[in-house]
Amino acid sequence: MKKECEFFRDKLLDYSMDELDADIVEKVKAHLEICPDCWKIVDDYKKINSITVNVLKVDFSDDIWEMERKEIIRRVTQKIDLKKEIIRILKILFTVKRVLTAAVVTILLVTCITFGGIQYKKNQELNKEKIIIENIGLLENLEILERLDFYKKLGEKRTNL
Amino acid sequence: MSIRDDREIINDIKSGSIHAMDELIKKYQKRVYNTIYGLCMNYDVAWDVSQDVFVKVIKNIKSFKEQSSFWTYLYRIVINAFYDWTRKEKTKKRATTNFSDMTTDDSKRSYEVKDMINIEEDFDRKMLEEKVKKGLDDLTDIQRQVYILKNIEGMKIREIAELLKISEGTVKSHLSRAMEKLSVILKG
Ligand SMILES: [Zn+2]
Repeated sequence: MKKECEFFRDKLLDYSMDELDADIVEKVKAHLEICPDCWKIVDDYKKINSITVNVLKVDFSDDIWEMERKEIIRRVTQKIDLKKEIIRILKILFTVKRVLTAAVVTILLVTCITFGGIQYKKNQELNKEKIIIENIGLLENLEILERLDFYKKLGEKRTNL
Repeated sequence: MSIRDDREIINDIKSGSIHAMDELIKKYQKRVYNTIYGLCMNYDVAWDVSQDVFVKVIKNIKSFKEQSSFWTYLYRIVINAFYDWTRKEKTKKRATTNFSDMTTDDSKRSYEVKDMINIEEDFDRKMLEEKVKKGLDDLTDIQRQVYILKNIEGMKIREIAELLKISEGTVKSHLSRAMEKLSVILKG
């Protein structure tokens, strides 16, 4: 290898990839004009790149790209709809929860009222019992009075005899 | 219509604009497709994986924090999606080692993507494609990635280093190794 080439060899790849500063680019260019060995290396790099880029770069017609976009957006909005659906179900569940709460409250109220009613009835019955007992007491008293009356009359009959 | 800034488009997507979704996909769909195609050289795989990528990105658009450029963010998702797919595929078919032999989930598609290609699938191209595929199969994943970013995406070494979070020196050495391996195409 020529001594001059040594300086340029490790810059040739950078040169072919357009990674060198402008001042060095000019020096490389000047060297390539006079050195067929270095020129061949750069030419090979360029060939490899153009072949691989040619094979690796894919393009479709615009309507195919548009089709891809539509498909993506369809999938995205579909997913959003799914989200909405979940929210809707959750809302229903909350409504159900509300209905359930209402039902529980109603049941509690009914129980309270029924229980209260029963208690009230019990109290009333107790009252009735009291009155009956009082009445029985009265009847007993009446009986005693009647008996007294009877004895009185009996006593009067005896004195008349 | 003028090309809008990514941020404006993304803000519109965040507020639910379908038109903005279309705009964003249009801006990046070729880059995404070609990045994946470059990695697997399978038209159908590239089609399915790139769709999955966009669905995922748009669905999670709120997680894009605007600290990095959108392409940097998107590229990482593309690479992750691609390797996720190869992992799944490899567990499905342990015997298959070549990406180009792998099949895709055709049940989702009623057409073959390669039928839609508008390039001449002539004999010369087929031969060349085979050679390039062999050359690319010899590259490691990272060498292939770096090579594509440089030569297909036209990115600068500095930008590649930033994107892949490796040093510029490492990028350069991957590139020269890739070039060495690919030069076999010309000699063979
Ligand atoms: Zn020279």
